[in-house]
Order: sequence, then C-alpha cells, then structure tokens
Amino acid sequence: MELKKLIKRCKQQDISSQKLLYEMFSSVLFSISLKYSRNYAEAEDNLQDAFIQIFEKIHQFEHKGSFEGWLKRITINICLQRYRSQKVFELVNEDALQADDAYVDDEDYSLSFLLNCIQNLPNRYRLVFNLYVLDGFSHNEIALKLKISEGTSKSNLSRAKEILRKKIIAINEEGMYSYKNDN
Amino acid sequence: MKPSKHIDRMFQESFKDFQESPSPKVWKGIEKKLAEKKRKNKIIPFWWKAVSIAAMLALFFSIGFFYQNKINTQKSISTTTSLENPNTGETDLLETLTKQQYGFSSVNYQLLKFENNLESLFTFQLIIETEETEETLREVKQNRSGSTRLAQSPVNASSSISFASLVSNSISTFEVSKTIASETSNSEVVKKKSIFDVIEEENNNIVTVETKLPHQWEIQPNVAPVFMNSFNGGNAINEELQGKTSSNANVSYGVNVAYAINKKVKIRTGVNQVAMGYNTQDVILSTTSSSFRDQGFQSDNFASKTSIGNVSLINANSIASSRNQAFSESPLSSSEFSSSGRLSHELGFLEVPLEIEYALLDSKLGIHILGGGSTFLLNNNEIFFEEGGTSSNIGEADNVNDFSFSANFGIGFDYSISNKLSLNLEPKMIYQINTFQSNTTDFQPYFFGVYSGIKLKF
Repeated sequence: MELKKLIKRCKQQDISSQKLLYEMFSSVLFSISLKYSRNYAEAEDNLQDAFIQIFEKIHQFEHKGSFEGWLKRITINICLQRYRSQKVFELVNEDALQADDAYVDDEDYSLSFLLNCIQNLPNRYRLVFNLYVLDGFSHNEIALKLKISEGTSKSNLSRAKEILRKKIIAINEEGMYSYKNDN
Repeated sequence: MKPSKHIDRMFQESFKDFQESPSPKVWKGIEKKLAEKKRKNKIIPFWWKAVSIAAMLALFFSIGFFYQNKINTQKSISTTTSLENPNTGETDLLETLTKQQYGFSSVNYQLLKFENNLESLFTFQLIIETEETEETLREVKQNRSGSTRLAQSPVNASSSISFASLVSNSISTFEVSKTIASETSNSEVVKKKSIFDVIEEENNNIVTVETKLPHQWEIQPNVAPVFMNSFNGGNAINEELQGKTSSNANVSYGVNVAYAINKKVKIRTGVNQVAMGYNTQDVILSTTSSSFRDQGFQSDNFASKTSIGNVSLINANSIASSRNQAFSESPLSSSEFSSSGRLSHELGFLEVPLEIEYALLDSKLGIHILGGGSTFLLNNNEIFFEEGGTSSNIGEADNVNDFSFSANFGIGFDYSISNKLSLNLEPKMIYQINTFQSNTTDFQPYFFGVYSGIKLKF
C-alpha cells in the first residue's frame, strides 16, 4: 500500500492500518528508543508511548518533509520528555571540558556493547550524545530541546565522550573479548 | 600500536544501520491503549451532547419559569389594584359575590327540591281538585235540582279556594324563587363579567402603558466561536515567517447590555472575554547569541521566556533552500531532524464594545444591523512552539498593545419567544485597528464571530 494512503487510513483511526504502520516503522523507531533509553524495558515503554502519540497526532502531519523523520522526531521527543527533567550534578566547570580528543582503538566493537555503554551514561549525557553524535542535531537545537544552554550541551557532550572512551579503553585493556564481535 | 579512530565516527558507523525489532507485547500494549482511547472518545461526546442538551433545556425552562412567575405576580397585583382603585367598594362586592354565589347554589338546590315537592303536591292536589270539582259539579247539579246546595257549596268553595290559593301561592313562590334564581344567576354573570372586564381593562391598561414605554433595557449573555485571521497573512512576530497562517477556533463569551433610545435604535455595551490565536507553519526555532540581537539582525517581536536565553524564529523554507545550496554534499546533514514546527500565538482580550443597533424588522423575527467599536484590554499573550508532537511555551510577543481598538459591524437576528425573551444570533466582523504596535508588523488581524445568546428585556 502506498504510504500516503496508509497515513490517510491511520488518520481515520483504522486499526489494521495502524498495525501496518507499526510493522513498517517499529524496528527503526525501536533502535532510536534503545539509544535514548536506559535499558530494554524502558525502550519498549518509550516506543509504546511514541506510537500512541504518533497515532494521536497523525492528523497534524501535512506531508511536508519525510514521514519517517516526523516519526523519529516524535520518538526522540518522547524519550527527551522522560529523561530531561532528571537533573545531573554538574561537578565540573563546563568550560574546562572542551577538549575534543576522544580517540579509541579502531576495532570492531559489538553493537550490544556500544549500546550498553550509551545506555549506562547519565541521562543528560546520553541524550546530548545521541542528539549530537548519532542524530546530527546542533548544540543550538539540543539547547532548545533540553532547555539547557548551549555551553551546557557542549560540556555534557565532552563528559559523555570521556566516559565512553574510558569504558572502551577499559574493555581493550582487560581484554574482555566477550563484548567484542565474534566474527 | 593499533590505529585509532575518533569516537564520534566509531559510534556513527556502528549505529548507521542499527535496527531492532521490539517484542510483540509492545504492539499489544499500543492496541490496548488505542482501544481504550476510542472507547473514551465515543463515551465522552455522547455524554457531552446529553449534558449540553440538558443544560440548555434547564436554562430555558428556568428562564421560562422565572418569567412566568413574574407575569403571574404582576397580574395579580394589577387586579387587586384595579379593584381597589377605581371602585373602592368592589373588594367587598367581590367577597359578597363569592358568598352569594355560594349561597345561591344552595338556594338553587333547595328550590329544586321545593320544585319537586311542589310538582308532586300539585299533581296530587290536581287529582283531588278534579275529583272535588267533579263532586261539586254533581252537587251543584244536585243543588240546582236539590236542597243542600247552600250548605255544602261554601265548604267546597272554601276548600277549592284554599287549594287554589295554595296552588297559586306555591306557583307564585315557585315563580318567585325561579325569578330569584334566574335573577341571581343573571346578576352573577353580570358581576362576573364585570370582574373580567376590570381585569381585561387593566390588562389593556398595561398594554397601553407598554406601548407608551417599551422594554428599554436588554441584557444578553452570549457566546461565540471566533476565528482570527489577517488581511495580509504572514506573522505578527516575525515578518520573515511566511508559512501558512491559520486561525485557531477560539471562543468569546460575555454579557451585553442594550438601551433602547427609540423603537428602532438601541445603544449597547458590555464585557466580553475573547480568546484567539493563530498558527504559522514552517517555523524553525533557534537560539541566537545576544550579540546578534544587539547588532540588529533580529527582527523578532517577541520576548523569550525560556531559560536558555534568546530564541529566534526562522522561516523553514528559506533555511531549507539555503541548506540545499550550501550543504547538499555534507554527509552529516541534520536536515532530517532540523524540523520545522508550528508557531502558535495565543491572545486573550477583555473586550468592551460600544455599538449602535438599528432594527430593520421588528416582529416575531427581528433583523437588525449593528456598527460600532470595541476597546480591547490585553490579558493573555503567549507563544507556543509545537514540533514533533510536543508543545512548549517559548515566550510572549512584545509588540502587542495593552490597549487596542476595533471597528465592529454585523447583522443580527432575533427570534422572540415572548415579549420579554428572545433568542439571538449575530454574525459579527471585528476589524482590529492597533492590536500590534505600529511599524512592527504588516499583520492586520480581524476576527469573525457568530454570537448567539438569549436576550432578556425589562
């Protein structure tokens, strides 16, 4: 079925069309939810909330721009709403951490390991890292979304990278290859 | 030493094609919630409809009841005054009349009984009489022929006389009573009529008074859906925002008071709370450093309330085109996510209109035209940015005048339920004159409302 028709049917709250839409996009959106959430269970909860909102707001979609992009934005916003309110203690001077020299050994790290690293970041660091590194938002946009300043966004990103780098290095040094890809 | 890689790139490459299917329980949860919402949606409108209809009926009946009571008390007052005023003796008359009426009915009943008795007596006596007269005739014949004529005849004669007198008496009394009865019933009718007359006269008096002094005051609670729009389109906050502007369906409610100068012309005022707003599509929100603002690059007419400092609004279309030109080859373009959202400007005013109403048709269905102006006091001014299903308050417009004026014109239809109560429907166009500070925007708003209400005259 053509996507436009499917969207139209979903606007009419046709349950079979809603299921079809879910099947088409659930994997893509679940991957986003997994990155922004703290664990698998919360990712499922967030995905569920995202789809509820998608079906509620689908009448607002006016075929301007990509539909998938619209779905992803809603999913991200759901996750942001859930985690952005939780405060992070800013123990470090924000301007002190601007160095961008986070290099790691070029190896094939398993996706589950990397995902686990991201999920274990403090909430705000995780959100900023995802938004900036993986989804291409600017610090300006992140500041607006998280209701923080651009400076805070930048320092959070540096802190996040630092934590990730240390974890990856630790893995390499300890030689815990169970985390690495088998192939 | 192993080759090193930037952590950003490493994560980007790893997660480039990352996809994972959720467990089936997620869809089950969604399905359940959707079903719940559908049920709720179905229930709520039904209840709302029932409740609104019930509320309307209750309102109408209560007004009707109140109104009816008012009329009754007024009428009873008018009759008593009428009885007391023109003929002060008539109150007594009324009392005696009611007493008489009561008494007459018992008299009538007694008369009826008497009549029956009389009839039976009469027939009985008639029988006796015929027998007796026959006897007397025989006796007369005998007397003519015989001897005892003189001796018997006086007795017979006296008896016949007494009988005749009795009969005649009884008849006369019967007739008298009948005439009394008819007279009394006649008098009753006459008296009754006179009361009705008085009431009627009094009513007429009221009517004549009314025609002299019509209901000069009207009070009209009303409610209206209002639609705001702009003659020039665009946006009042930033002229560069050229996305589609659409009105929110908003509401105005309040009370109007009208004073009739004469039969045709009324002057009216009141207080209305007007909520309105408009949306502009294709807007991108962005933070700007204060230096940019100072240098005059900023043409926004709004004060940001967000904690992050200055926020600016960008026309999504212009950005999109410039991006396409400049960054079309950039591998990591954020175009997919740099979403354009919807800017929603909500305004609330306290409106005090001053309008003149001219009646074109003044019967059961009345038509009037109206014109005038309103003073608006700003009491709500908020800007929301809605994007990706979330809406956030980003500040307020700083080019909205606290005081503004408008030119109003419209046409109204009245359907009178009674001479004190009418239903009213009034499509009205309100052209706002200085809602926004001059030279800050070309945005020329107006709004259109269909006012409906109940008019009470007194």
